[in-house]
Order: sequence, then C-alpha cells, then structure tokens
Amino acid sequence: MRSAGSGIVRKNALLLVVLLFAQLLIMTGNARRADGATQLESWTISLTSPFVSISEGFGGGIRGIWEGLADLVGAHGRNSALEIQTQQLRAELRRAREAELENDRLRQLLQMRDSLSPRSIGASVIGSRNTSTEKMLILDRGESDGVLPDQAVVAWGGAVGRVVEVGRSHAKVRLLTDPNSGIAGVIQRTRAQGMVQGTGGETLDFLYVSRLDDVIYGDRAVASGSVGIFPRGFGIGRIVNIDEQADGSRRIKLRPEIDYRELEEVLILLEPIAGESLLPPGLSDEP
Amino acid sequence: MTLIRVIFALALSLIGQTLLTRLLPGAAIFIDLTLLPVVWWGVAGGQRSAMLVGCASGLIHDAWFRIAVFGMGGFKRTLIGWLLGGLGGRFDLNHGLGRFAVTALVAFADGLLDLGLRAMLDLRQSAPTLELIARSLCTGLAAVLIFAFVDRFRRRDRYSGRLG
Repeated sequence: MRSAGSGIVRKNALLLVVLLFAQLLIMTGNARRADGATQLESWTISLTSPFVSISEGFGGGIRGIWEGLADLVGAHGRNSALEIQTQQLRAELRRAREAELENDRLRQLLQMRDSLSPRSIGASVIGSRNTSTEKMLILDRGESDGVLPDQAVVAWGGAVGRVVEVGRSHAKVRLLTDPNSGIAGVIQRTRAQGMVQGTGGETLDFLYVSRLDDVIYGDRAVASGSVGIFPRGFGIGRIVNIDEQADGSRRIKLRPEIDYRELEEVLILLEPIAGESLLPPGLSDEP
Repeated sequence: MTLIRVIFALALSLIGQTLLTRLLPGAAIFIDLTLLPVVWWGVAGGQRSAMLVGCASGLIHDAWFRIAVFGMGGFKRTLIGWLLGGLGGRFDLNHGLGRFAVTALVAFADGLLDLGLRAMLDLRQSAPTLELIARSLCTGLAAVLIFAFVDRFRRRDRYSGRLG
C-alpha cells in the first residue's frame, strides 16, 4: 500500500519536472524571438478565441442595452438642444465646404502631397490587462492585416501604445502606462523635451526635463517624434504634479489623455512615420 | 469525462474573465477567474490533474492577459497546482473557509512568483503590494461564491439523476 502511494508521488514529481522543463523551453524560445508571438501562443489564442468571441458578443450586448437605457433617460431633454445644434452645424458645414474648395486650390498651388495621413488600419480591442505590473491590449488584427511589431497604436485624442507581439490574426499592444513603456515627449507650450515613461499606475512619469525649462501644472505633453515610433504632435497627457526634488531634479507626473480602460477601437499606423506631424498643414502643433 | 469538465471549466473561466474585463475593467484588476479551475482541481481533484490544469490555465492566461514571456504563467501555475494538489490530498480544504484561504493564498503566491520571475528576467515593475493583497482576497471571495454555486448545481444534478 505504502509502495503504491510512494509510486504515485514519484510519478507526480516526474510529471512536475517534465512540465516545468517544457515551460522553461517555451520561455526560452519566446525570449529569443523579438519579432512577435510564438507558434504555441498563436495556437493557444486561435484555440481559445471562440470563447472570447462568445464573451465579447455577450458583453457587447449587455453594454449596448445598458447604454441604450442610459441614453433613453435623457433623450427627451436633449432633443431640443440637438435641433439648435443641427442648425449651427448646417451653417458650419456650408463654411467647411467653402474652405475645402479653397484648400484644394491652395494645395495644387503648393504641390503638396494629397494627404499627410499615414496608411493605417482600424482594430477592435478583444482583450486587455490593466494591472500594475502589466498594461496591455489585444487587438483583432495581425500579420495577415499587415501589422508588425513596433508599430504605433493611436486613438482619437492621443497615443495609446506600441505593438509588441503579432500573431496571425491578433496583436498585443503595450500601453503607455505599462512600466516597461517609454516615448519621447515634448511640452506643447514651451517645447521642453523629455522622456515619458509608464509607471504601472494611472499616471505617467515625464523624465529628464531640464530645471531651466518652463513647465507648469496643466501643460500638455505631446509625442516629439524625434525618437521612437509615434508621429509628432500626438497627445500623451497633461501635467498633474511637479515635485522639486532635494537633489535639484524634478518629478513630473502626467495624466494620460486617453482612458485606456474605455478603449474599444484603435488605429494601428502601418508606416513608420516618426518625425512627421499628422496635423494638417497650417495647424502646427507648435505654439 | 474529466477532460471535458476541465475544458469546460477553463473555457468558462476565460469567458468570465474577459467579460469582467469588458464590463467592469476596474474590478477585473482585483479578480483572477482563470485561477479558479486550478484551485478546484487542487482541493477536490488530485495532484496530477491540478498540475495539468495549472499548466493549461497558465498558458491561456499568458496568451490572453500578458505580454511578458509566454510560458511564465504555465510555469507558475504548474508549480502551484503541484503544491495545492499535495495539500488537498492531506487536508480537507473543500469547504467555504478552506476554499477562501487556499484561493487567497494561491493568488498571493501567483503574484509573488510573477514578481520573482519578472525580476529574474529583468523586467521593470512596480511593487503592487496592496493591489496583490486586494486581488488575493477578492479572488478568494469569488472562489467561495462560484464554488458554492457549482456545488449546488452538482447536488441538483445528482438528485435529478437519482430520480431518473
């Protein structure tokens, strides 16, 4: 009886060693690859994605119902305000059409490029993790859509993060708030340069800003475009705290412009455009 | 039959966790539902099944909720499954308080192992002490509620089986 028990213990110990060794091999293979997800990871995601799709569909339904109910509550009151807004927007639309025609003429005159917009692709967020050790998103676009590691991910309002792993039909994005994230930033008002680094919390650190630079509470930091993958002028965050340290340095905290927890759709920039401004000509990001 | 149950439990935990992430992103930080199948098979199954479930659960967690090195979660949870399976074979932990204590402890150990492995791999990280404690306690509480629901479902299933 005792030998049967010790036999099971020995078998379990052997299985443990085999499993741990297998995981170590997987980890080693993964650590060597810097260009994307491993085959096993892609298979795991492909195998389990139907369950995540169920959850996405169900979650989207619940969210839709909830938002629909919330919208209904204030719908009547907002109706009259929207009518006034519609009138104003019609007038603005007429002006915008005029401006567009004028813009086309000027563009032809200046022989400018038709558009400064980079080639990009929209993606839906199908998974996320938002702990203090890791902040990431999983998107429903991958290699088959032309997504590659180190491409910039943006949303309306600002920079979101960088693609770090790409599978056949998914991509993992490291958010700016992740402790292992970094981006070259500049204060929009004074052009003070620095490095924005994730903290794992809700704020970002703005590092290496000279003591002589003029920065104040509420200043907006944007991507400098000088180093890295983000186009110039993309919003990063606003200064919420400046601590003068005893050693003469500064600790500057930024609140991100985007609420990453609420993201559902993002844009992946498929072309390397660091250094270029995405803002339309005439609307410089410089003050 | 056990394999189907394992797959079903892992699928449900993944659905639950992604649903939580989508609907209540704030709460999702503090509850790790993908850990529950490991605890279930650890306290009620055997050491071998706990290790295998731990391995599968860790890899799924790595694939969907991590960008650190793939396989780290599998490594951690295989080890946790082995330890838990050993404990489950010696002590009766399959009751409310036992489940709470074990799940909270396992979630805490999972977090600590994560920090250790990250430090070994030279990954930058903050020290999430409070978050880790809160996650351990909340996951423990979730385990008590979910396991009680599963128990009730199983009892009803057995009862209707006897009648049939």
